[in-house]
Amino acid sequence: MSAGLGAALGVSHLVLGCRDLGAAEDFLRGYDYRRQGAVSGAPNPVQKAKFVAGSLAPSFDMRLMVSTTGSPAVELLRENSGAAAAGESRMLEAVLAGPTTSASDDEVIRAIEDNTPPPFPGFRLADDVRGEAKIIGVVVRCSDLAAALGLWALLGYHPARLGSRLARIRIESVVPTGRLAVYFVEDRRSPAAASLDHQGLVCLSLFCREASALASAFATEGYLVSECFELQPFAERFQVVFVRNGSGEIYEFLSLGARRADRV
Amino acid sequence: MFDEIAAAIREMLTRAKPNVMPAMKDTDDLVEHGVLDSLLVVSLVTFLEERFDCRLDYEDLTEENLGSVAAMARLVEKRVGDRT
Repeated sequence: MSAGLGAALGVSHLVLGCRDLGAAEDFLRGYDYRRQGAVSGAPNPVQKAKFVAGSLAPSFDMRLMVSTTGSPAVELLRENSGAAAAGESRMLEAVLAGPTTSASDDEVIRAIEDNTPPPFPGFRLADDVRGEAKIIGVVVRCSDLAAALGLWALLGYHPARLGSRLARIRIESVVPTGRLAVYFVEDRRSPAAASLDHQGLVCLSLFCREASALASAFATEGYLVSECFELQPFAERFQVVFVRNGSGEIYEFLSLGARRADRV
Repeated sequence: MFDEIAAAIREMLTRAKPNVMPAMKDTDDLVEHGVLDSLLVVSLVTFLEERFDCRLDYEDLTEENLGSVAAMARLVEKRVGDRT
């Protein structure tokens, strides 16, 4: 990897938009996730407004689910009484597999080619997994592969091309929960852009060194970027920025505290 | 320098994981013992860069370099040396 804007310091979590938090929690509990924290009725940051399909809900509920098998955490997000909030985002899907299934490209590709409805919005199963499971990849279905990879190139990642319409990047981390393989599949029939007020996997959240400086850099490159804002869902206070990729999916970048801008 | 860095790392990790860290040796594997999580890695990088005015590159952030207090201290000592 070469130096770009600054590679992600690992995955923070996946954001799963829900209408029924209990149903989503039950689904994940079936795959060895447990609830680590919850927030109810938190005021919605206005900076999110550009990333919802309808009007921004005044508040949101959130539950943070963590894996006992080393998969990234999942934030269950419910926007409360937004004007739209009825749609479903299908751009992103996480692929769950059993502990004995290899986390290989072939396993994820098999899941990508499965055209049956997923067992839960945002999640697809690589095999007949029950109980102990791990996320072996996140799939992004996009209409323009080059546009999808543009954001990652700016960050300094070099995607592996697995075919003319398929590429993969690996987000590395010291700890297993911070690692993730992200697959980009070009499909002209690909679903519409993701929105934070939709059901399904709506956003991938990544740690970075300095969210505000990253926001400026992405804005300069023409990406749709939120203003940087602060959020303290639990013990830590984060700087937060949302970025929409040229292919339509949303990324959230989180950093800790104020840092020197020259350290992006 | 190494001892100062190692002591700062131990202090930071003990604040974050007071139930686990006091029993850990500097060479113990922090990932294997469940000390490190995603957020703590980010906190550590932020803390070490600011405390010792150095820059840890993405390529530095491996289990080999951050897997124990001693490994981290060696890495930071090297990066502080690179600065001069």
